[in-house]
Amino acid sequence: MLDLTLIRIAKARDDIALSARKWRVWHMLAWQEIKQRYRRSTFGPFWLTLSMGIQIAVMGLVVSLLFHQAFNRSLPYVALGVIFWNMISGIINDGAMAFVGSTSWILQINLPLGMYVFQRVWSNVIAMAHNLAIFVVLAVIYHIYNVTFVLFFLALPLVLVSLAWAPLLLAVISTRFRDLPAIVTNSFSLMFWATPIVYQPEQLGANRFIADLNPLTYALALLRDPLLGKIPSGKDVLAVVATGIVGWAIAFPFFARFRGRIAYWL
Amino acid sequence: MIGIDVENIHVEFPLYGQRQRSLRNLIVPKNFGVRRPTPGAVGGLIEAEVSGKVVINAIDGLSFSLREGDRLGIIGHNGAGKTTLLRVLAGVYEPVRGRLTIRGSVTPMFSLSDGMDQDATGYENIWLRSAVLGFSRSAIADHIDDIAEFSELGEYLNMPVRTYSSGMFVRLGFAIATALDPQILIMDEMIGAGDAKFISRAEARLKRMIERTGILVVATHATGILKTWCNKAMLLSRGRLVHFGDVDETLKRYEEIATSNA
Repeated sequence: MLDLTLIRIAKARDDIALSARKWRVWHMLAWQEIKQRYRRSTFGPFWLTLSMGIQIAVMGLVVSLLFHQAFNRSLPYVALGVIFWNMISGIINDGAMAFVGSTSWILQINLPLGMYVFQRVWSNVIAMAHNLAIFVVLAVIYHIYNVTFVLFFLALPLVLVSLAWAPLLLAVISTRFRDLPAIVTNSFSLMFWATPIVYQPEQLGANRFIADLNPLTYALALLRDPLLGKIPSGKDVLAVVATGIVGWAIAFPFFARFRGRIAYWL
Repeated sequence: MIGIDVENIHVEFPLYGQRQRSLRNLIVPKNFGVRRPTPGAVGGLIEAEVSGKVVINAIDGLSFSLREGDRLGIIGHNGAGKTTLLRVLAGVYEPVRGRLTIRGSVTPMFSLSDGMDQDATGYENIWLRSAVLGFSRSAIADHIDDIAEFSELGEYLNMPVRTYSSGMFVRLGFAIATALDPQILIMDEMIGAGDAKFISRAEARLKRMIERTGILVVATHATGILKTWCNKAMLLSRGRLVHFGDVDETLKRYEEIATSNA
């Protein structure tokens, strides 16, 4: 019995390692996915950016009215919040369908399953990069530049690795239980309000614990703060790292146990 | 040394109905009745457990070995387990019991169009499919002209593949699949929709590719293919090995069974 467990762990580890090495393949697959989204559309890739730009402008306006803040103060904050939230929720939602959505490849060729998850994560990162153009425009208009921008490029990989276990875990369960993706989408959209995306955590007052207990608060802070000229606090980094460790500790054994069954479930 | 060793493998498919696929029903279960096993003329052996979980024994204790230079043809009735066995050899399904040892890299050739991005152009799909099949960037760049030229699709390679006829699909998929130099080639029966001229070119190209291969495993209903390409044959029935060995003997056995059932 122990033998079998060790073999499973070894195969899961090899799967993840090989998936990482095959980055050229999932990079290509991710780009194909992005192209599919805007093919035959008028604006091309920036179609995604345009619709998000409108969403952000409206939210920024509503927030400044609600909280009696100057529009230009809330707008960059809200913009980054919405951009990064879209990336994270995209990673979770697309990730849950990673195996079901790749059925034709999985049943044809023996590729490490981690690849299909990494592909979904990466296509959401690419979309985020397109959307970041919105922030670049705002940064130019409102003169937001800071050497802390560099920290963003350290924060991004850290956040991605600390969250990548979630789509993996969801993908495994969703292949077996086909109603999970819908449950995930609905539950996750509720998280929008429990995360300080359009508001500051302080504004929750006595109910601040809602944001403080939410791991996504810290991931968002880690991504957003450097671009707003703040150095992320050690607490944020620690929380994100801890989320990653706990998350992988749950997701990896799950993946190891059921990796060989995925093809049978499709 | 390239080789395949299969020792007593079993493949079982759990069949989940809509009920078993639902998370909600796991938490709030319904009562399942007992169902009896259903024998039939085709298909693998179906068993039903008391819980209502139906299991298909697609492969029921199979053992054989192949060495470099072997060309194995697998024949059997519909649902005998041919495609399932090919998928096991390709590493898609891990056997639930038994041991599978494969030495050498495996190239699967199951479907010519599965996984093709319908909105992408012919060229983009060549890149995509080749990359997934394991070609490096430089290898793809080297082969792309050969693939384009063999497919004879010309300007259509710059058009999205959803504009292709099924025959054009076959040309493209075939050209990509046969650009390889496989060590172990696992092939499911190719359904050809190409025109007569293409089919004769395709056969020649396929033959050349097979000659370069170390081990070939092909599942087919066509006895002609077995006789031309294979030096060994395997007859499967309901997931079990009925005969393994010489091509002519195996074909005779296949015919015996087919006529006795009639």
